[in-house]
Amino acid sequence: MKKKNFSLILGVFFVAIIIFLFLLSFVYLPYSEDQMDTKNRFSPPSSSHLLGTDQFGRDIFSRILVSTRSALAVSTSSVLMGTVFGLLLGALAALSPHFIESILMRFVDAMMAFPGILSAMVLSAVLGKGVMNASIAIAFFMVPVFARLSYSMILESKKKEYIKAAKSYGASTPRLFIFHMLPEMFTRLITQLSSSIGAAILTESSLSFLGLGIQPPGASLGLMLSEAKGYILIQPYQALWPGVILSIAVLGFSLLGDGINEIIKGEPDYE
Amino acid sequence: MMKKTLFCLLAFLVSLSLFARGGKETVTVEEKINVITMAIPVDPDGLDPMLTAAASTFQITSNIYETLITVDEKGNLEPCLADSWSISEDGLSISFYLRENAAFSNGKKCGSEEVKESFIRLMSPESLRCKDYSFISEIETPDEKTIVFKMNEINVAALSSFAYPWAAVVDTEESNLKNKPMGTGPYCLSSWVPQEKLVLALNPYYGKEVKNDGFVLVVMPDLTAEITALEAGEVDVILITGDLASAVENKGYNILAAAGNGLQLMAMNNKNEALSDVRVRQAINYAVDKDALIEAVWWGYGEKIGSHFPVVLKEYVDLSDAYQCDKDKARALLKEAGYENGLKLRMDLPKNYQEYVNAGLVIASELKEVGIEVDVNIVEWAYWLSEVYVGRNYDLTVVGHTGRLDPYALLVKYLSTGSENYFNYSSSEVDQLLGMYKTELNEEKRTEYIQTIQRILSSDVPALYIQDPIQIFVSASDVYGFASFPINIYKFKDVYRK
Repeated sequence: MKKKNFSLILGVFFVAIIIFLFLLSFVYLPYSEDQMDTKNRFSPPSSSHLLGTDQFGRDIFSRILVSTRSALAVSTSSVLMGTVFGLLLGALAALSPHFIESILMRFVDAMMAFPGILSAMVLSAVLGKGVMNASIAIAFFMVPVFARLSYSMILESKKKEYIKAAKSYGASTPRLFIFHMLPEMFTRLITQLSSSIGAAILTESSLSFLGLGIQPPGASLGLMLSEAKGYILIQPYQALWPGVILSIAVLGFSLLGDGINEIIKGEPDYE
Repeated sequence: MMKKTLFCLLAFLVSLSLFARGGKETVTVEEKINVITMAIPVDPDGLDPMLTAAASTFQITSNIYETLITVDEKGNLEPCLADSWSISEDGLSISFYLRENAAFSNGKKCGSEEVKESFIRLMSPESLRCKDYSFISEIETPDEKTIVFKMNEINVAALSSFAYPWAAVVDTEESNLKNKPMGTGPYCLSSWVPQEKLVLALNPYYGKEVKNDGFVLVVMPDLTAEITALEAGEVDVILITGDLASAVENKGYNILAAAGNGLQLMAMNNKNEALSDVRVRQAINYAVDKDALIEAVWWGYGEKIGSHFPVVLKEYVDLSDAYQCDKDKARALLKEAGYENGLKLRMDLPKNYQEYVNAGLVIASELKEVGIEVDVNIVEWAYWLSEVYVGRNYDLTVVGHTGRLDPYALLVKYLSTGSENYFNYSSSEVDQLLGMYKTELNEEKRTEYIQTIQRILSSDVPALYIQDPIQIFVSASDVYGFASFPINIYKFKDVYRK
């Protein structure tokens, strides 16, 4: 089984590009992301403006660098929030008496039935705009995904002998969960985490595109696309770069997830 | 047996179709050749001119209904439903003489009684503009063709108020004018698919020349889509903003760029602690380079202004260079006012007007350079209307105001007790001048008052006056005759295909 794991290689490569841009934004930012130079709007790529300038003469390269900050900040924070709450909710359901379990899981099903972008839009409309609220809104629809995952995995591991053995020694439920079930879940969680981050980046961009996420004059990939949309007839290149970076980010994280998934599948089963 | 039934059925269908074709050949409006199609950004909110405040709606209703008088491109009054008019010597009554054979599109004659009924409806509380016409004390109809409006006190803005599209004459017997408009204008509504298109057919009873066979309005919210539709020949006329002008230039289209008698400005809340200081407001005016702003946002399609007055009106005074961009002077003024360590202001921008959002962002970036930190907040139009305009709960906002024919209607926004004074501006001098203007009959003195007000506003700067926008109408290479007017009307009847 020495088939090359292309998804993993490509995924790591793409994610590395995004992480590199993210780190670069802290050490080297050619211009401030909202610094205007209206006389030099729509200037083509040059040595002073690596990717050219937008309709206000702002440097597109700098704006993309800053965009990766918000993309990564919002996506990782929302996915982490979603993971923690989803994990707890799933565990609570799996380890509770049957009627509480039913109520909790039907609640999760109901949350799952909402299209993610719709619930994120409703929430950010209620909570108000901005980075913090966008993260919360995206986390909200990440919760049911992770709740189901942890629920099914705990149900599975409940049947396993080492859990039964631990239980027979008198281990408490929280102890069982934290020390015996959680470590086993890690690999699959990481797979889910990685592809969820891709989805979260896309949702953050969609929210910003619709005017509910990052507010101008800030920079976000979705916002840049939305601003470029009005000039697509006369300056099509303005939409190109944020589009490319967004594709790389989303593709990178989902391929990474797929790649890790392949590794796990390749491992021998425990039983 | 089966075959026979089928044959009978087929024969029946064929005869039916022959019968359908055989009748009088009916051509729908859209199939005619000399029909003009125009793209509009929003669907009208009903076609009753008295029950709407939307400029985009008046642009359509002004072709279905007629006002007693109308305006030409320069704002001079012209006959419309009335052939002529006269004002009594004491200035307290205006008589209109209706044109011959005026009739609604359902064939009903439109005489002085019908006009009177329509104005009674305009002045009733159900109409949105009833307050504007409260100066009329009595309406008389001495004969079929004459209608006389009497007033209790002299109002110099009275005559022009009959030209606004909301003062159109409607058939008051029609109860649902919003969906079934009934007027005496060149067109009548043929069909309306909401959010998609409106088809206007010719009014058979109009009796004056119309240069086309019908007008179709297609709803297209996206400007880019409008331009591609024009290129594909799906629409004949579009209205674009300056930033997209380069997409239509040198392609053989007929381009009409005309000052629109509008005003675009950044209003400042004079009740805000910092902004109540005239030095801070002047500093903001010095900090912004208006030419660069107009170039950046409207691509130079705009006439720079320095006071609340559109360049097309005759009382206009050129104050556009009163504040030359000077960042050091701005900083000095801020220091004098005690804000040398910076100042924080909030700016609310209406989301659905991309040009105002862009202008706000450019201004915010310029103000940052002189130490004013602007917190940009992009809001929905409904929120803007209720919180910013009516509620006056804001610091800075960028918006546009539509044109008026009479300077009083334009400047009444600065009356300290005025309901539209969302600047919270208060100047006893302006209040006094506005009061004097209202009853002054001497033309020269009236002009003088209006020009003085413009100068006061230019030095008090309750707002950063940006520009009188230039509207750009683009029509297909074979379509001519589209014109722009100083009030929110279009005249579709003059548009034709060569």
